[in-house]
Amino acid sequence: MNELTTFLHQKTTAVLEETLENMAFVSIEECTLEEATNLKQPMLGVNLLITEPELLEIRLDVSKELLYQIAETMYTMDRDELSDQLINDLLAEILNTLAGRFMTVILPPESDFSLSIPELADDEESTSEFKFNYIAEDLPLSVEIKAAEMDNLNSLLNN
Amino acid sequence: MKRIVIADDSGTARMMICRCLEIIGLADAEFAEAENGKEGLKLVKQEPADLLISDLNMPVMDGESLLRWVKASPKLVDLPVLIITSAGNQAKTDKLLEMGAFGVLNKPINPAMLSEALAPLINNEDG
Repeated sequence: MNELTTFLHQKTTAVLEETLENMAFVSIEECTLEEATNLKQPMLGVNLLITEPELLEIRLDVSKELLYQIAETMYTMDRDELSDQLINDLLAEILNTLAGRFMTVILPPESDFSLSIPELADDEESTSEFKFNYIAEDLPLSVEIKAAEMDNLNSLLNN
Repeated sequence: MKRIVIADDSGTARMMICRCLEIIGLADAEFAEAENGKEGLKLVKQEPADLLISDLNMPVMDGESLLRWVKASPKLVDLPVLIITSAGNQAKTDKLLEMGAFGVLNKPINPAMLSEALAPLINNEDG
């Protein structure tokens, strides 16, 4: 792992841990892409753009089963009461919180940033260098950081 | 505290805020929910509220515009507005406080954070 990948991985892991523990009392463990893939779970993905100070995209993919488990706990509802809309909203709010924390921890306190409204991902998951895989409750999830230009990511590291 | 208006485009976020408010002893309050700032403004204009809790990043009308409208209205100017956001930093927090926000909290929130932020309002009521 190069310096940039290590930096992004550490920050992503820290904010994902904090977000899921606070929102859903769920703890995560890091895993490899192979370990995550071997679990063969249907996934649901959501994207969010960071429009300032650099144009970046953060994507979160979570096992549908894990989302349902989190929603059952958070909403104290039975599975058959949980609508697709509620599950999608939960996924979007996790990413929204995660992205905000991510930018807060990587930028200096005085730096401003802007987030777009999260949107469900309609394309396949990719396997880029900045995709980090995790397991929670024996189910997979991943976070991927994308940038149109490598310079955008490098400038974050230099902040 | 009798009526609390919560403006957030995420139903999950609104549910989490309500749950935290219940945990810190405000279960008896009426929670009125709005999906954006415009709806939130309508709710606080329709019926007096004791607290407005708003997200920043919302479609139609964002939380900053909502705060601006509230603080520009002679009838609503004294309504405490607590901003809960995922897009907060010190610079934005300072700006919102300068605009008249009662407080600014960063997501993910928990009952302890909310309790501490609302303590001056709740203690004031008790006294």
